Amino acid sequence: METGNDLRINGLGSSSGGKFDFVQINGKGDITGDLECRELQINGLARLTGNVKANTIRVSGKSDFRGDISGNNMIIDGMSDVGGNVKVETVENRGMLRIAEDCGSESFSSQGGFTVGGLLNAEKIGISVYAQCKAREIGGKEIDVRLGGGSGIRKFIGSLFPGLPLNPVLITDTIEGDNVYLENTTAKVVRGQDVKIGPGCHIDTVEYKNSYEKNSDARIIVNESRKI
Amino acid sequence: MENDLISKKELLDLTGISYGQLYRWKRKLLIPEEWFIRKSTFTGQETFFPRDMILSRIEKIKNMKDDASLDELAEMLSPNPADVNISGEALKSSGVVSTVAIALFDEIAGEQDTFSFTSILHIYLLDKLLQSGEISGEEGKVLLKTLDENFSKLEGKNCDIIFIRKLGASSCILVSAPNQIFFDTSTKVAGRLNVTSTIEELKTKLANAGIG
Repeated sequence: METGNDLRINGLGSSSGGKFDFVQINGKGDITGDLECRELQINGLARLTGNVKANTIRVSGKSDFRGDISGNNMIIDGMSDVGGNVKVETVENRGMLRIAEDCGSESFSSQGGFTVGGLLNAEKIGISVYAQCKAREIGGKEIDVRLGGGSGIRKFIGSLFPGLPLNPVLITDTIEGDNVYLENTTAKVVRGQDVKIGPGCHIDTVEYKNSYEKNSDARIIVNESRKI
Repeated sequence: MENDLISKKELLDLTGISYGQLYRWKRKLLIPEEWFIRKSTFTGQETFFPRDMILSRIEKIKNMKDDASLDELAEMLSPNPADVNISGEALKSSGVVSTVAIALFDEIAGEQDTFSFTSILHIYLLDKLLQSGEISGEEGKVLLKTLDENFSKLEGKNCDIIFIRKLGASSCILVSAPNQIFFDTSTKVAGRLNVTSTIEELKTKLANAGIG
């Protein structure tokens, strides 16, 4: 970043955006234009109306991004809304992440809840389902979905975010990947090379190329499975 | 129309690529978003692709991915202009475009010291139409003027360049694609080129000539 200056909002403040090195919002901040920086840290409440491009984005509070996000790392420990697309190499969600459009990453990991309005596309997708997770479609190489933690942890998260849909389930139309392992997933179609269906799943159709395994758990419903 | 489309399943079968690869190439913008056509079928949502375009694209990616990184490939396949600036000498000796076409370009735009990608593209489009005998040198000048004045408005978008003739008079049209366009019966389409695929072709040629 050639400018090398920082933007800090402590308390209440607003900025029209621009190019910065380090941007920190402690308190409540509005950024009304496009923002480009090395690191963006939000420790309170932030609303960003433009597009954001940053190496690292950390949200430990609540943030409302109205545009697109691009960057290398995005770590959500709180709650984040994104109105556009997310194109970030590594996404780590430990809170509640809502993306209105598509999310494209090399690695997407989630220990919390999320909603992706479009396609969740990542080389490696690791989801620990603590709260409700939703995506229209999921595609990638490795897709691993497991029920997260104990019910105690899920209750704790519930107490932190009242009003959060808490049933720990991943809901999606289609899942397509090379290696797919699923728990607590409701999907219309699952397609993959090697597919394993674990407990708590409700899948209409499984289509597989090499191998298909179904956990002997009674709480699995797979209406149809076929080798393609 | 149905025959022009290929389902994702059939595509993977035919080309031997995996879901992981397809999604990676989509992420890297090697396959344009608008080629993913989502349709409801009796087995649920399915994705279809324009058959010829996707098959040739995947063939291309498979052939080139050993020599170039995915990012380089994306650069090569994108409709955006490449970052190229070469001298007239280098352009002539590369053999990518004919000297006749360069001379015509010089006549319209004046003598150039260096050629940007956009200029080379204009010359290349002209050259292709000249070589195929579809247009004459005079019409080539019209083409260059049309491109010079309007191409920037459609840059980065898919577009076609069309040459029509009626009663001996010719005219050049730059139109965004995909688009259907119809003419009266006495109008003849003398030549038509898709600019986006020409850009791809040119980028490959320049890369092979060691430029860009």
